[in-house]
Amino acid sequence: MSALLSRLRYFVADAADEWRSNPGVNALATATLASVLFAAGLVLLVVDNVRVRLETWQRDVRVEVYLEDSATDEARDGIRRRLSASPGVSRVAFVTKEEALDRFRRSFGSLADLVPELGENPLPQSFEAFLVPGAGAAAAARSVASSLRGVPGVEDVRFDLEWLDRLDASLRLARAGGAAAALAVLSVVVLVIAGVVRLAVHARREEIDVMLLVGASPALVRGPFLVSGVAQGLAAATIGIVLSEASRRLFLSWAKAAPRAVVDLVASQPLSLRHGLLLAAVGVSVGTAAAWVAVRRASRLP
Amino acid sequence: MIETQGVAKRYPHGVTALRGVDIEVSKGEFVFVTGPSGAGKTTLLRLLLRQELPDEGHIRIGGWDVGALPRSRVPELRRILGVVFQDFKLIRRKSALENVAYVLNVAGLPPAEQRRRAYEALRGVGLQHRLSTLPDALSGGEQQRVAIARALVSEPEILLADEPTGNLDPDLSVEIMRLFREINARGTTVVVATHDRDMIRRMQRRAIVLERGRVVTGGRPS
Repeated sequence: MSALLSRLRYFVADAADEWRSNPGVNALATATLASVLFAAGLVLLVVDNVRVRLETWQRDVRVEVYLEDSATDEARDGIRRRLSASPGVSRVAFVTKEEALDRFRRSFGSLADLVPELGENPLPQSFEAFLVPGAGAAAAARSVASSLRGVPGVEDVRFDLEWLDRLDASLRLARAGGAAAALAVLSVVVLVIAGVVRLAVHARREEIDVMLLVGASPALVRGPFLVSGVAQGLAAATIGIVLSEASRRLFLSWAKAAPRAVVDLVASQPLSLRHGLLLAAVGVSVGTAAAWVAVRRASRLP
Repeated sequence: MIETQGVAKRYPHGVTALRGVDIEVSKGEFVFVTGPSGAGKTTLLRLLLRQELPDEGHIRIGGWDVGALPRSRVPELRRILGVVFQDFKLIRRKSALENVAYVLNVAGLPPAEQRRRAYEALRGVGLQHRLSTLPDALSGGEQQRVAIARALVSEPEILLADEPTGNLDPDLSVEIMRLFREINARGTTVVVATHDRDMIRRMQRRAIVLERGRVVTGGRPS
């Protein structure tokens, strides 16, 4: 165990020593990886924000069941029970005529003056059946609507099917786009970093030969390179994430005059923890893999 | 200690570096391998170090069949050999002490023991005052002495040196040979590849003479 720790200490110390003696090549490798991860961070940031926004909208997707003014308490309770028991419905809210009027006033301030002229509240009482977010929301909406049309006390049932379908399609597109962008970025990262690390290994080729000639095992030679790859990956991911967040804040401060919906759609949320961890994992994996690929051939014995 | 039988080495484009090489070096012996440029001296040493594999023949070093050695055991072979090169082959970013200690690190010795023995080895070649100096700040003679200290620090059974004085002036060459003689006197088998015939005459040791990849004289002890 102590021998293993001693080896690990040597790997770390030698990697640090190598960084100090070749700052240019190492800085180039880290900066290259950091810039690609920064670009990936920006893409993921937009994907995250679009996803959050779409999911927020999706949580608001509902079926509105308007009741006749003459609907009895018994009919109303029956409708509520039926809605609550419907598959795909997450919760049911009752909106009184007064609440409906309040909402109207809040939403259409300029038309609110019309209400007193009518002499009565024309808006119906209603149930709002919120749907479980997801691809099944549209089907659930259709099912709820068809089960309630014609039921005593129900005047009308409404939901925006087109909107639901668009939302589902947008979410699928956002997820697929995110995955495609991540794959493209990953391919570029691997190619660029493998080249940069190969450059670093070429610079140390002579040193590697000497190490092998005096009896070092390939594992001993590769160890510091792999530690260095892990460190470069971590450093690059940290830089990439920090720059992504700084860019988001800069965008928010610059885009004060831009429509709120646009700003919210791309930059209201910071990079999600999941995607932050993904960037770190990609950084470490790519750094290590590139180091391994580059050093493996150089440290092969005849 | 070292024996080769019918060793041949060919390179692409039809260049034959060694053909039918039979040599024998006894334990504790000091021999030169000499010949003109291109005779195959360096190739022979590269084969002994298992930097390359022979196309034909067998090489045995202290009971090891070098050609048949699995790749995973090559480091073990190299750890019983000390090696000195014409161009020193020091690790440029490591100090003199660290270069010497690296061999002990490879052997898995504790860091304190590495430093102690590396210091002793540097003292043995008169460089204890330059232990923290990087190779580029050392003279050619000093670099070669660090390389010798590195080759000897693990007390190898065999010391292989490829043109160790090729880059040094005559006075330093004599000094390096004096070190080799001392090492040999302590029981280490020494094999030095050189084309310096004056030095071989002065040292009065057996010389294996190669020409165009063949052993001309001195292949076996008389």
